[in-house]
Amino acid sequence: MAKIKSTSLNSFDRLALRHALVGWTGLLIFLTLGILLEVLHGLKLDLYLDVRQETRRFMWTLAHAHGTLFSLVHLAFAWSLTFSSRWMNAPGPGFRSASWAFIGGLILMPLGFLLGGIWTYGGDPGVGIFLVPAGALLMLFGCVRVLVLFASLRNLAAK
Amino acid sequence: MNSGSESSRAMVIKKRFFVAVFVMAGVALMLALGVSWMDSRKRQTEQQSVFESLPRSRDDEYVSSNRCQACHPAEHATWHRTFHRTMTQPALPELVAGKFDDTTILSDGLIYRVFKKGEKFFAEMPDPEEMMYAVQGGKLTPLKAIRRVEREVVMTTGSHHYQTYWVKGADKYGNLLQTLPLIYLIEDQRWIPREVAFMKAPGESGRMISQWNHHCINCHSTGGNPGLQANSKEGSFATAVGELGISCEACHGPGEEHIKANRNPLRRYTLHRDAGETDDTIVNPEKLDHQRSSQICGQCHGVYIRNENFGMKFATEGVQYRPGEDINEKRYYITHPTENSTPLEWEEYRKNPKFFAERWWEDGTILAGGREYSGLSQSACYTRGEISCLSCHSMHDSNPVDQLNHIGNSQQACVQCHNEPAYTTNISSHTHHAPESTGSECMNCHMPHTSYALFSAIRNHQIKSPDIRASAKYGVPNACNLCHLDKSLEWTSRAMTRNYGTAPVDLTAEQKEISAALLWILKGHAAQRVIAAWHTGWEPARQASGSDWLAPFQARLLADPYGVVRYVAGDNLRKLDGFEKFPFDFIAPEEKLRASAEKAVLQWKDRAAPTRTGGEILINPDGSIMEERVQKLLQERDNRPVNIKE
Repeated sequence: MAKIKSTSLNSFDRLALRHALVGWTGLLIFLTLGILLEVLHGLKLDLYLDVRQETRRFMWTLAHAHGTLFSLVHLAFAWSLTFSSRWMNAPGPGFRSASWAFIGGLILMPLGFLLGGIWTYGGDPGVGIFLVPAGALLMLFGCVRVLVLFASLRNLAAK
Repeated sequence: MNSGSESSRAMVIKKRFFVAVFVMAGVALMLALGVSWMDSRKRQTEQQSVFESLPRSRDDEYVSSNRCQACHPAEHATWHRTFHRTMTQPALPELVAGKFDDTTILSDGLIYRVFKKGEKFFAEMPDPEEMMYAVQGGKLTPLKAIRRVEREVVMTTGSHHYQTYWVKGADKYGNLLQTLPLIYLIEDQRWIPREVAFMKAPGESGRMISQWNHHCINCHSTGGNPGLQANSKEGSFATAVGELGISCEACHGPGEEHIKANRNPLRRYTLHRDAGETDDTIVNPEKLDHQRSSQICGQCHGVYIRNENFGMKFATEGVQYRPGEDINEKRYYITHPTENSTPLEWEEYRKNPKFFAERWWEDGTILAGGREYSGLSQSACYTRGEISCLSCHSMHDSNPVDQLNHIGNSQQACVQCHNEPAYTTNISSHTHHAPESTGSECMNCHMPHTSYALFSAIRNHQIKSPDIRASAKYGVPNACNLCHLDKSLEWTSRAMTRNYGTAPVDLTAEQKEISAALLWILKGHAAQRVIAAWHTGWEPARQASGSDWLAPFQARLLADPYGVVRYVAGDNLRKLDGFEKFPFDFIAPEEKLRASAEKAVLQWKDRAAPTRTGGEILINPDGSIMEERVQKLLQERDNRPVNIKE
């Protein structure tokens, strides 16, 4: 067990810890998915490599890529939170809503791609794909929220 | 201090070194990009003349397969590997099979030379327009006096068995493409003149000169429009196609409306949800009834003439038929009259018997390969049943060689409908052959290889039972004797009477005594000879009849007057034991052909006596050939001119 300096965590730390956990868990899941996809390549399995499965291949690759990338976004968010605590006493509703948006995006978008690739209709993915725009909007919302917060912090600092 | 300045100097050197490496890498990268760009530009410039000479792309309702790929990747990929796609292609280095290596080929006495300049392909040849005037226009110019010109080869036809080429026509005819009357045999890797690649009676007038724009375009492109400029002085062409080759829209219909409608994802997912529903913006041949579905293939694989007005409409506006429509509204599909036909139907035949002879056996069975729809549509399976081309074939779920689907080459294809025990669990009661033998395979009896195309006998799509009477009366080879090569028609007639209760057939003495296959080989006309010759190499026939007695008869065909008969005979002779490496050039001069034939007979005589002898196969008990009878049959050979419009 790692030694920790203190168990007293402020609200920023708690939020950062949540996103560090989510980010690393996401990385674990989506890197594992990546390995799984490589195994499917290695074993030349028709369910993934057959010419009829092009849409599935594309969807699952996107699930892996987005999942991994968004996990890194969570880690970046966690890091942003840790240094935000220098200037703010507590994360306001902006950070909290961004937090939930990022979590929602990490779940919905890769899941949409994953489900969309399980059942496909020729060049169209399965209906799971409809989770993707919802996830994308959440991620976008989170980004905008964080951007606005940091922009306002910068303005405050300038004053 | 010293060490400090040394260290800073070392740092400067190190920095400079890295800068130099960085700059050099940058320069190398720029050079590589520049060379690659120049190479691509050069290639584009070189290919420009090819693309400028090809038919233009239609900019109306046809969208091309590239647009279909985005939504139908699997269908696109499975179609992409077919020979339908590669039927017509631009003459680009990666697509040209022929060796343009300065070879000279003699076609009907005229010299053609093929060569390359850089990445472009050329032919030195008699002026194709002057040839067109002389051969097709009846202008009395001695062909050897026609001036020689150099023309760029811009387009290819074929990619499976052989490939032929098209050169750019004179500018005044628009984008007219003239034939280069040569064929490149892909497997044999050799050039041959066009006239020996087809069943064409030697010495018959009519050189194989044609233009792609008004004829081949019909079936070798998708949505072809010859674009005949009817008012132009020279009769020039502004030819356009939906796509070269046979692509998605040839079978599914033009795709523009479909693409526009399905940009809406809600529409697409509603259609996905209602999987059984038909998207009315496109045609799915699988969802059509068996007749409409087969007509799609029949737009090319059939014998027809266009209905009134549609001929000129085709010439000026392009293909009028759209998949899913009733093709009979725009075309008249010709059938050979039969014994049951009315005098009126026979009248059509009497007006132009040559037209029928070039496409059908005399009993009305289709002869010309590539006309499968004309055969199928005359079959009871089609007229009384619901068979369609898609019962056995698929453009997406098949081997590209024959486009047969997963059941198309098995009993399963037939037992989809004929599922009674006599055709399934108790098949021997019907076939009178062992259940697992090739004699119990439905298609071997009901779809024998009695059509001819592309140097090969191919399965006849006029599905019917073996008809010994048609063999005796009209000379149509039958399934039984094409497998039992050593048996006479008498033997077959008796077997049919015994097993199926058919009436005994009146036969001549020869038909009673001598193997039917030998009669076709030695005494038959060219179509009979080529079909019988092909079967000597057919494995089921070799198993049923033995093969060590066939060579001395097959050998006579090596000097046949017809190039295709010689080719098929030579090709199948090499499948016989001891002849695997028999040297034979089917377009050699006549004396050499005769010498090859004699050599093959002598080679056979030098071998051990055959395992089969007897009067039926014209081999004496001591293993020698009944040469006198053979010679007599050869003298009585049916030398009628045979032309097959495959």
